[in-house]
Amino acid sequence: MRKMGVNTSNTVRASIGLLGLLLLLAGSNTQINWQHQPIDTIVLVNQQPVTESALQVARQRAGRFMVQIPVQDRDRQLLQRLIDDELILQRAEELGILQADPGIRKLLARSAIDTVVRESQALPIKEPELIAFYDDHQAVFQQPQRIMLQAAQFDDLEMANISRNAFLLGDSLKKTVSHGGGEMLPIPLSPLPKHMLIRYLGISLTDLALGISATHISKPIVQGDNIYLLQVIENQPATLMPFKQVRQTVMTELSSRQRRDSLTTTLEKLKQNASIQFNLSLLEQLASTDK
Amino acid sequence: MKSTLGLTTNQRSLTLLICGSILGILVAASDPYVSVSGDTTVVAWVNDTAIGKAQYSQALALYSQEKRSPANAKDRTLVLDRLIEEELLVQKAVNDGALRNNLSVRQRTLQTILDSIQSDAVATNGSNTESSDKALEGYIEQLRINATIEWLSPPSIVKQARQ
Repeated sequence: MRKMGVNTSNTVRASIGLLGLLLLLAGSNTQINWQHQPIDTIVLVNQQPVTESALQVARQRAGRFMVQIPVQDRDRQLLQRLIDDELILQRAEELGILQADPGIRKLLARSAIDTVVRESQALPIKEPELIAFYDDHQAVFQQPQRIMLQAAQFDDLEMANISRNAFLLGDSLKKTVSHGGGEMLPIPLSPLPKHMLIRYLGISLTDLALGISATHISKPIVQGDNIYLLQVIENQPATLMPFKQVRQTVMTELSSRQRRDSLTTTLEKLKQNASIQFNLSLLEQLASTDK
Repeated sequence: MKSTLGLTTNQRSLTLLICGSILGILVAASDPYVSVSGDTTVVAWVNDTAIGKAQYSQALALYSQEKRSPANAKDRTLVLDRLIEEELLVQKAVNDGALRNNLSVRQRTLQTILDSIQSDAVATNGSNTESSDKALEGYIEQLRINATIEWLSPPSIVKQARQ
């Protein structure tokens, strides 16, 4: 009975001790460097591997500068250089240069973004995914409404009305405008999308123009000191481009959105897993100083 | 008496172990940067890295300059958020091994160290190429002496490189 009690007590002690050690380890800020040595490691420099692949890259890069050196000597020199580089890199880590140098920080951030983008691009896009994206974002893949129109500007409302009536009786707008003392606005005579029309007419006149049917003329439109007449010659409604025709555009658009989304997701994950603490008192102090 | 003494010893060791566990729990639950609010130079900690007041103020000033108006609360949050994101990306790149695998990062880091050694040499001995090279050689030699270098490769390369 007593022996059993001692055994139980030993087990309890061992378990508690182990738990304590585990908790101490978890609570400490120490990072354990479990080495995953690459299979082609040639040499370990303070436990950091220098690999055959790295030597291969160095050979390629050094290529034309070291042609005259025998292969064995060249490899020896390159390997020594790789070891020295590794030592310098380790020194840079110790000195905290990666964190302190703004240029290196930018390069590191760029490298992380490139990795995320590369990973997202590595996943192949399947046809059903492409079609579903096309169906869900039809507005992106349609040819916008285009209008071919003429616009005339007058100083006087009555003259605008006279010109409009003359036009309705069969005269050309250009002719009636010149007789009525108005002037034609310089708009290219070809079907133009909304964003192009805005450049010539401004937003409100463009919105009105988009609602006018082909071959019709507007009533005089008063805007500030001016009066306008808009004659729509052709009105091409927005048309959805067939999938086959815009497949490449759909692919480009989907890839671009996937890149953006994967970066956002990665940042969210990094934030969730990070320990982020704010110095609220200092932040408040700085905010009040700025005011 | 023996058993009483034994029991006491057992009890004592058990108590010590429990204390150790409690200490472990306390250490695990505590955070090394709990005292962040008392710091006047750090606006935030991202994992174990500080975002300094100067860095934040500089970023905020640049942002306001671009915006051409003083920063409001929303701008300040945005700027701090961007700095945190940048820090997280930097940490991710370091963890992914960018220092060794990304050629631009590697070259830039090496160059920064070499430049600083050469600047020190110039400051001490003037702009003399020979003394700069000597300083560099001495620095690397010192790093080699302090390093643990363990060869694992085929003997031919090792033999050559060891010479």
